[in-house]
Order: sequence, then C-alpha cells, then structure tokens
Amino acid sequence: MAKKLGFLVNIERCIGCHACEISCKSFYQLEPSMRRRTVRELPEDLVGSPVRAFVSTACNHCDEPACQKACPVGAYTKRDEDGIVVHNQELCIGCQMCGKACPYGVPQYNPVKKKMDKCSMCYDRLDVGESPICVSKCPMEAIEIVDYNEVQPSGTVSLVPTFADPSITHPTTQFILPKPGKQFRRA
Amino acid sequence: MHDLPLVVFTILSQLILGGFVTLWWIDRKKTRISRKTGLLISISFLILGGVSLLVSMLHLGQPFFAYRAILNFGVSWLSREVTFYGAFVGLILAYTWFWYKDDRAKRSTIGWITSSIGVVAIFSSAKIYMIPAIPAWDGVSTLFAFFLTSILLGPLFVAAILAIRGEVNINISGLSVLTLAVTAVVMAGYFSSLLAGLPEAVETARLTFNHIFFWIRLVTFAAAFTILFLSYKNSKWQNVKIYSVAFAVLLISEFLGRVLFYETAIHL
Repeated sequence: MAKKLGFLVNIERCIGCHACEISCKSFYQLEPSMRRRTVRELPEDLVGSPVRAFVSTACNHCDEPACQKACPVGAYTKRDEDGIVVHNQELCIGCQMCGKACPYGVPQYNPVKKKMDKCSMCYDRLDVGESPICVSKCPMEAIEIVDYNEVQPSGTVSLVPTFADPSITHPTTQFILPKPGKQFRRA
Repeated sequence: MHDLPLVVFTILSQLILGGFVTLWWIDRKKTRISRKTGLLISISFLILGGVSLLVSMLHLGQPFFAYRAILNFGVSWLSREVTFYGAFVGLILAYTWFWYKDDRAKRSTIGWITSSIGVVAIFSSAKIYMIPAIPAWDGVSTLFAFFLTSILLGPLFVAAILAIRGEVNINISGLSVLTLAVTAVVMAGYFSSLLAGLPEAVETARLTFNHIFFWIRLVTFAAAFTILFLSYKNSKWQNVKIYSVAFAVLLISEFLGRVLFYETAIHL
C-alpha cells in the first residue's frame, strides 16, 4: 500500500523557538517576506487551564488539495508513492489562485521569481533517507513525519485554533495538544 | 491594488457577454440593424474582448506564459474560464466576419454558439471564486452577481450605441429596472448571509459597510434605478442621453462593487 506521509506536530514539546521556520527559510534561501513554515502562538485557553503554547505549521499535503484543483497549469501533483503535494515552479505562471484556494493560505508568492512557492516536505531529502529540514533542526523533536497509513498515533487532533476546518481539504497534519499543568519547558 | 486587472477583466467580459447576446437577439428577431452599425458594435466587442484578455494577463507573474493556463482544463475552473473565454472572443471574431459579409443566417447560427460559450465562460469565471477558503465568495451570490452585471451593462451598452446611431430604438428600460430590482434582492440576501456566517464573512461585511466605495455604489445604483424607471414609464426618456448616462452610472456602480468584491475578501 502507498504511504500517506504527514507532519505530526507535538504542541506539548514546541517552545516557540522558530528554529524550524528559520532553518527552512535559510535552507531554501527564501525571500525576506516568505515562509514555508510558520510558528504561531496559540490562545492560552487551548486546553482549558491556561497554557503558553505554540504551533508550527507548513503545507498540510492534503488528501484533497485545493491548490491542485485551483491551479490552471497543473503545477501541483500529489505523489502516488507517499501523498506529498509537490509544486512545479517551472510550470507556474504566478496567477496566485492556489494561495486563494488553500484554506490554510499555504502557497506564497515569490516577488522576485514571480511564481508561487510552498513546502515540499523536503521530498528530495526524504527520497534519499534524510529528514526534512524542519524535522532535523527542531531542538525539541516536536515535528515528525508519520506514515498515517502505517500508524495512527493516539491522542492526536486535526484541528487547533487558527487552523481551518479540516473537512474542506482533509489535511494530513496532526497535532498533539499540550497537557494542562505540565508547563516546565516554556520559553 | 493587486486585483485591479481582475476587476477590469471580469467587468469587461460580463459586459461583452450581455451586449453580445443582446445584439444577436435583436438581429435574429429580424429587426433591421444596418450592416455598418452591426459591424461597429461587433467590432467594439472584439476590441473590448482583446483589451480584457490583455488586462487579465497583467495579473500574472509570468504573463508571457499565460497560454499554459489551459493545461488543467479537466480540474481547474480558472483553466476552463481561460479556454471558454478565449473561444468566446475567437467566435466573436467569426461573428464580426459575417457582419462584414452581411450573412445574416450564418450570423444567427454562430451567434447562438458564441452566446452559449460566453455563458459557460462567465459561469466558469464565477466558479473560480466559489471556494470555501474565502467565505464571502463561496456562495451562489457570486454566480448571480456575475450574470446580473452582464444583464445590466450589456443591453444598455447596445441600446446606447443603437440610439447614438439613430437606429432601432429598443426599449431596454423595463429589463434594466427588473434586473436592478433582482440585484437589490441578491445584494440584501448576500449581506444577510455574510452577517450570519463565519467570522471572516462578518469581517467582509464590516469592511464593506465601512468603505466609501460601498456608499458611492449605493448612490449610483439608486440613481441608475431612478433614471431607468423614469425611462420605463415615459417614452420621452428613451433616448441617447438617458441610455448613455444610465450606462455610465451603472458602469461606475458595478466597477466599485467589483473592487469591493476583491478588496474586502477575507481568507479563512
């Protein structure tokens, strides 16, 4: 059976250091305004009792990618072998429709190349057995790549505040929420 | 404003569809339109069509590769829009040729095909925006708005040119008044649904009501309604000046409405 790769983001572990965001930006030499991964602070009442929590998000490599349906040139493909949604910049004409159609606003416009850009889950690194940059640079090991066809981690959720309704495109990203009262690692 | 090319493109494409269908309808009803006037109107659609296509490319990061936009026809509504609209403008060229040749039978046939393709093009255009990621766009009101713009601007454009040329004086006021009334109902329904919708939709409504363009649009809309209602009631008001003024006022109103459509859209 083909893989279904997705990010598993452990909010319990994330300390909001932005290492994932900056290492990705640096590795792909993105323009100043661009990010393939972003870290945001979540509301304090996330799990009932007050917590200071952060969430790191990138492309969700959705089961039904809205970007793929919106793109007029067919620049988006979902890889058969692992479900990673790949954007082909060679084909892109910079219409920006993918950015509008994605409920998570993931594809971003590169103002220099005048084309869209998004996270590729570092598929070229995965193909040679390496981890994506964000995964390898996180000091808290808060981001993992999981084959959701192989394992279904318990205690995960697919919806956190600021995240759009998962029923629209069925994102593969899952989150582990922080545990109330265990706030010893916060920055 | 980043979306200005799209504002111009959508308004022009919808105007052309409404105008084209009006010209074809009048012509096939055996109403006498001189070859010169028919050719003039048809060429004006061709020029506006060309302009709209060029302007739409300004929205692209890579305008010289715009032709690629037809590659994902099977999945993407944008791809379908580009394909059908391109075919629509191409068919207007053929239609214009038969005005030049003064071949009414062929004009009638090709006009029917062109109108159908044009309707599909505008339908595709509306479907592009009906996406869950932008709640203010994701509804049937987008579809209504696009076709109502066609019905409001197109027939008035043709009526104004026919009146200027001193030819068939078509009574367009009744249709326009009815369309304006339907537009008012659709607008009321649209804003009600926004205010009862997701927080992003409510924010769109708030931004719209606080925008000066919204109030100018309302005033111009009411002015056009008054002019056309008087024209409908009094045949003396069915002349060049009235149709031209009504068209100009409605064009401003629709243009501002479309600017707001893009400017106030809030992403999830």
